[in-house]
Amino acid sequence: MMTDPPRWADRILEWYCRDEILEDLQGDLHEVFRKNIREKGLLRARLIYIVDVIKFFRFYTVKQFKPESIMQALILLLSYWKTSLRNITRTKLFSLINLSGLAISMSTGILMIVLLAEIHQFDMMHEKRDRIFRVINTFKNGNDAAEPCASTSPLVAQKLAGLDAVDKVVLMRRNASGDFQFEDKTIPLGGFWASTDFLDVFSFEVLEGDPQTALRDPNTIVLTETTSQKLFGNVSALGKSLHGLNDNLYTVTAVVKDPPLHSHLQFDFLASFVTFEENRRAQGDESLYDWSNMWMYYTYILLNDVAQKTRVDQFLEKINQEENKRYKNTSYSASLQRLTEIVPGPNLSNQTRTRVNINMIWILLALSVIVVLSACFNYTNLSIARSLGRAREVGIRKVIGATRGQVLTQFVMEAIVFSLFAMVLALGLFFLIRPYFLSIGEFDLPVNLDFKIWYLVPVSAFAVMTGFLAGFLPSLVLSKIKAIIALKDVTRIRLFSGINLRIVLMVFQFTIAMAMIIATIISYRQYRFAVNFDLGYDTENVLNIEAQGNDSRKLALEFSRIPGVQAVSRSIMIPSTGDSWGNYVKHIDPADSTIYNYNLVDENYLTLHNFTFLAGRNFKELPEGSVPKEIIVNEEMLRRFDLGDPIEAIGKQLTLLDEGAYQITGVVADFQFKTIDSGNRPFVFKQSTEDYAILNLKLRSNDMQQLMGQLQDTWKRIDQVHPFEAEFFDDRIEEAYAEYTSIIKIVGFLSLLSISISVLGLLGMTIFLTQSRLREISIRKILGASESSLALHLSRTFLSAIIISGLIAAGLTYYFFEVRFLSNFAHRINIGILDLGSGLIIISLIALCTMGWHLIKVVRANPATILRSE
Amino acid sequence: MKGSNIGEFEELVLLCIASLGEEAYSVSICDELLRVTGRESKLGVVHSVLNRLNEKGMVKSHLGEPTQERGGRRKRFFEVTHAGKVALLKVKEQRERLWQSIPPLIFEGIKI
Repeated sequence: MMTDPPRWADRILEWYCRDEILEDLQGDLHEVFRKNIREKGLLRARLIYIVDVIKFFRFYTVKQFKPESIMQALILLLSYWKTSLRNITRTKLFSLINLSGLAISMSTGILMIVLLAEIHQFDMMHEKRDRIFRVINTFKNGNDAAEPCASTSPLVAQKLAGLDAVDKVVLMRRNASGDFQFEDKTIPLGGFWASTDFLDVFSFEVLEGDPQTALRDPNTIVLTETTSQKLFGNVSALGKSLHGLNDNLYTVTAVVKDPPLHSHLQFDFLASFVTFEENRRAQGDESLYDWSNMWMYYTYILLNDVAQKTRVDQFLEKINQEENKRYKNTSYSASLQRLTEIVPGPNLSNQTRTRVNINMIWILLALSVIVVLSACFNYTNLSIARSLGRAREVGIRKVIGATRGQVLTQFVMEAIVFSLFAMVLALGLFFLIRPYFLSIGEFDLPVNLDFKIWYLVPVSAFAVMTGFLAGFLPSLVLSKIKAIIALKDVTRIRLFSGINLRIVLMVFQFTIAMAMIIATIISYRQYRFAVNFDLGYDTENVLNIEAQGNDSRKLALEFSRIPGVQAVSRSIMIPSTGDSWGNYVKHIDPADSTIYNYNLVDENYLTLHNFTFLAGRNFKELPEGSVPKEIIVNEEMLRRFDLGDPIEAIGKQLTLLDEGAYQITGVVADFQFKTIDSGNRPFVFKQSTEDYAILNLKLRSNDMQQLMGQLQDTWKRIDQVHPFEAEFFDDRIEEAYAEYTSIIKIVGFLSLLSISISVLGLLGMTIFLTQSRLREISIRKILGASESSLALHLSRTFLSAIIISGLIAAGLTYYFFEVRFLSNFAHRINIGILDLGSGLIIISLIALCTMGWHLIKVVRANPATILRSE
Repeated sequence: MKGSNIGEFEELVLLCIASLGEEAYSVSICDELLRVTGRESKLGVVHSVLNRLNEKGMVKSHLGEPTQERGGRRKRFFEVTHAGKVALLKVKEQRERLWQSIPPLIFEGIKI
């Protein structure tokens, strides 16, 4: 009983070893192997053998590669190229099917490659990027989930400045936007407050001025080229004064080139941070350097040496622990994030405008891989099915002397050639689908998906890999064909477990297509559900207009004069679209406080939106200068503090953090305050002492366009500087769910792709199988089979494949949506049988059509003619 | 002569080959080494030493008869060449000269 060492290791040895010493070397190794089995056991013996095969790969044992053999190999490859081309042109239909399938799927692959390449180019223009880190913060309150944020407290910047591992620190504040005036020009601008070292750490090209001192002094500002143009035209901006933010006068100290598209920091200007600090201090606000003041500030550091990163990490850990001791239920944990990992990075809150949802990218990647696989399987399926036709060719090649390896190489080459042609087609398709993809707004990504020439390298590699993947299996099958049998009687060849494999591949394709269809339908239904969800108040025909600094009372008066404007109210924010404003509230127990959300509204708001009052009354108009003492709350608030039923709750008092005690004047029914993935929180309506930022108009008119025109004219009369910003509430809600629109668009698109691929595959298979069974069909017909039973018989395999796929697809999508996706929503649709069955139904219909017409043709043919021509 | 110096391990291998006579091939050389020195040497090490000795001209080899147990693969038998024998004798002589010039007192009473 002779056990052999692992065959594959042996083969490797035979491959690399010189012929002269192969025999005795291999003999020695085998002898040692046998001995090791006795002494150390089979497993160790095999391990030692494998290691030895690797160790013996040495200069004196390895074959010399003669230049002649390389020439030989090249000539052979060239002949394969020619044969592949000939084959492709000979079987035009199949080639076309395979080509289109591969091209379609590869175009998504190319899209992914370009997208990924572009994402990694973000922030590449900063010279010191390897040493730049952003400090991010994780905010955790009580039992709520931890919320990672891109912003941190200025205290972190202060402490880090003292470390010697840290070369420079940049502290920034966001939401620096407002109107800037120069002489007679007033222009709205957006930007950041930035500290002295900003222009040193980041590589924004400075056109005028000194980057070292530009942001050092208070009341200085740096403009971008475009901004400078807008305000000063072609004159140099240096030294000029602007009136702007916080009512300050700013001197322009530098002008930089506009931040490029691929920068996560976008701004029109940079105002010196010290200005902001001094303003705050002048107002008596000392809270700037509080540990909890983390929502508006960004901190970036430049390390002396990247190796020092761990030191800084440890330092931050220490600070986290020390500072968090002061806060009971809440914790703020600072950590470092690399500059280059900001854009292709995790989903943080409070990001500067430009970011990519990394999860979205992963999902897209997975889906493209699946689509490509689907196409590969098409090729595999069709090729294996056609291998009978190539059998004779293989037989002759083998008789002439081709080794199995060479036959294998030939067919893999053919697949690669195919795939390279498909790549050319795919590139064309890519340019077609690119604008469609870019229009999917959710990404908000400033990518233009430019195709740079060097992209051809990874794309070609991708094509070759795809070809290899697709062609490997059929090549295995074909190379196994024995020469003599092939030449003698082609029909006697048994395709190795070919039948079952093909069904598996088909099922895979169909399942993918069906799953995509079901996913599209469910996502679409959830989206419409979300958009049409009854929020508990009216949003129909409500137009929200931004006051943009103007007197809201005056605007309200002017607007209400227009016929068609039924009612006007004012508020500071728009609920149910994702925004939320919050604070802390207590009832009687000073230790028991909770977060609540709020909206500051005037006396008309609740009636305009038709909120349901359960008890109490609405606000009365607040006289000028008086302080509001009343609040209106929702049911959730009552439940939170056990305030009893609505009627009992009237008159009770609640204390709002930093604002004092308020009396409950009214109770409204719970309404959907956030987007439907969240449940309810305690909510407070209060009147504002400052001006309101938003006007809500209830409109009624037969001619909306004219009404809008009138509104716009009214606006222009009052405000000539700012553009008229108005949006219908319903439109805003749709926008809030825009993320889902993009998911639907993408999945829908991929469904189309996978359906096409599966249909192509199905078509090819049907044509092939019916052709090869022509004789059988004719005989059956002659023996008396009816046309319908024949059709059924022929399509039996396909039908069972479709049904199996339907079941699997239904199961997969059910699991995914029920357990993973929809469970994140507080309010969601129920998945019905019709949804799950939709995939099956649609594919069956399509399959019937494609198979159908071909089958009918075949089944109707005159058996006599067929048999005669055999 | 250039290249006529042999290392310690090479010397051991040459001695084993000489002592094994007709039966000196890589596996048996390994076994002999183990038996005499107690060191288990890997086949790869012995094989490359044999190759080096061959290149230096200290051994020559020939293929034997095919045997059943190795699946019909022949063994490569080694024998020490004239140059190899000369090198061995030289080393032996050098060692002995050194030993002779050491006073016996130094090694008195030491047991191995």
